[in-house]
Amino acid sequence: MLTHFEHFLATVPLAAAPPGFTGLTIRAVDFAETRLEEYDLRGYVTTPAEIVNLAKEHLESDVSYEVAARWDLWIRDKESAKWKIQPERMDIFCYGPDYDGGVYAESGHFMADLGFEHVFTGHAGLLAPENERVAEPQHPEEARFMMWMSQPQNLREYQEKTRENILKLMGWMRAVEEALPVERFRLWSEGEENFEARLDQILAVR
Amino acid sequence: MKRGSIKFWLCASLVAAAAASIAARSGARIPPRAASQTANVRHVNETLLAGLRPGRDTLGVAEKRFKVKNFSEEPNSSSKEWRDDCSGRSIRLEVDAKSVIQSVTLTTLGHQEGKCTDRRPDFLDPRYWLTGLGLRMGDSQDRVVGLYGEPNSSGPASKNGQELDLMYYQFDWAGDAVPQVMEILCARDTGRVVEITLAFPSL
Repeated sequence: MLTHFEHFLATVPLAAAPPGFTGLTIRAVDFAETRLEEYDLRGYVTTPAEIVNLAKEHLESDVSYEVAARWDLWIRDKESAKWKIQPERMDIFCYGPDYDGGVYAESGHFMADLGFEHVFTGHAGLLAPENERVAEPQHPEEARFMMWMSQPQNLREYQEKTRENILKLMGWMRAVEEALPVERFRLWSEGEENFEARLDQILAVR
Repeated sequence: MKRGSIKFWLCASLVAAAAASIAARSGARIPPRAASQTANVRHVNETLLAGLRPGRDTLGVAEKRFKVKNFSEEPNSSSKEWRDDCSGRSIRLEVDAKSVIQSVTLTTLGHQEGKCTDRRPDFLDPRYWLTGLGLRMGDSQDRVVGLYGEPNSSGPASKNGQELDLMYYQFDWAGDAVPQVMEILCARDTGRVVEITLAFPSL
C-alpha cells in the first residue's frame, strides 16, 4: 500500500514555492486514538519517498497516514478584490485496510480533502447555468461580493479563475489514474448533491 | 464554508496483495503469555507518565499542568481524576497524605457518555499522553516490547466489558527511589495500548 501511496504523492501538483508537503500524521486503529507520530515538515523540502520512509516505521494494516500539502490555486483577495495564485492546504489520507473498521470502503484507499468547495464551484450558484437560481446573500460581505460579481467582466473573470482551478483538479485526477491501478474515484462535497456534475457544468459554460 | 474531497479506490486484488505484504513484514502480534513468565526481561525502567514522576511530583504539579476543568475528586479520597466524558479518556492519580503522586493512570477505557464540545480539554493534549520513553495510546504490543523488553508477566484481563491483554513490568531492580511497577493494557482484538499505569509503590 505504501508503494502505491508514494506513487500517489508523486502525482500531487504541489505549490511552486516550497515546501510542498508540510506534515505527516500517523494514526492507528481509528480516529479516536491519539496519533502515533506527527512530523512537522515545514522546514524541509520532502519527497514522496522520504515521507513513505517515515511512514514505514508504522507499517501495519490498521494504520492511516495523513499528509498535509500545499497546492497553488486561484483565490480572490477580499481586500484588494484581485485574483492571485496562492498556496492552499490540501490533506491527503491513506487508509490501511483494517483502519477504523475498514473505513477505506467508504472513504477510499486514498482521499484528498481539497479545501473549500467554492474554490471549484463558485459562491452562491453564481457560476451555475443561467436557468438555475442564484442564492440570496446571507451576510453583508457576501452582498458586497454579489454586487461586485454583478459586473459582467468581474463574473467572467470569476468564471475563468474557477475554471482554471477545476482544470488543475481534473489534471491531477488524470495523473493519478495514469500512475495507479485506480478502480474508481468519487468527487464529493458537503454542499453539492453531485460535485462532479457541478464541475462539469462550470467547465461547459462559455 | 463547505468542503470538497476526492476519493480513490485501488483495484481490489492489488490491495489484497499489499495487505498480505504488510502482514508478512510486520510479523504476527505477540501471543498472550502465561502469567508469571520471567524469561528474557530487558532492563529498561520507566519513571515518567503524562509528564509526571510518581514518587516525586505532587498533585500541585498536575493541577498546574492539566488545569481545573474536567477535574474531579471524591471527598476524603486519595484518587484524583481528569475525565473527558466525550472520549472516555481520563488521567487518574493516586496521591499520599502529603499529596505526593503515588501512581498515574492514562486510560481510554472510560464510558463515553458526555456531550462533546469543540474545545479539547487541556489534559488531553497529546504531549501528556505518553511515557518518558515515548509509548503512546494506540501503539502496538510490538512497540511496547521494543521499548521495555518482554514483560515480567502477562495474561488476559478485562475492564468495562472489554477483553484485554495485561503486560506487567517490575522495576524494583532499579532501586526503591523510582517507580516500581508499570502495567500496560492492550485491547485483545487490535493488540493496541489502551491503558498505562505507572506506580511508585507496588500495585
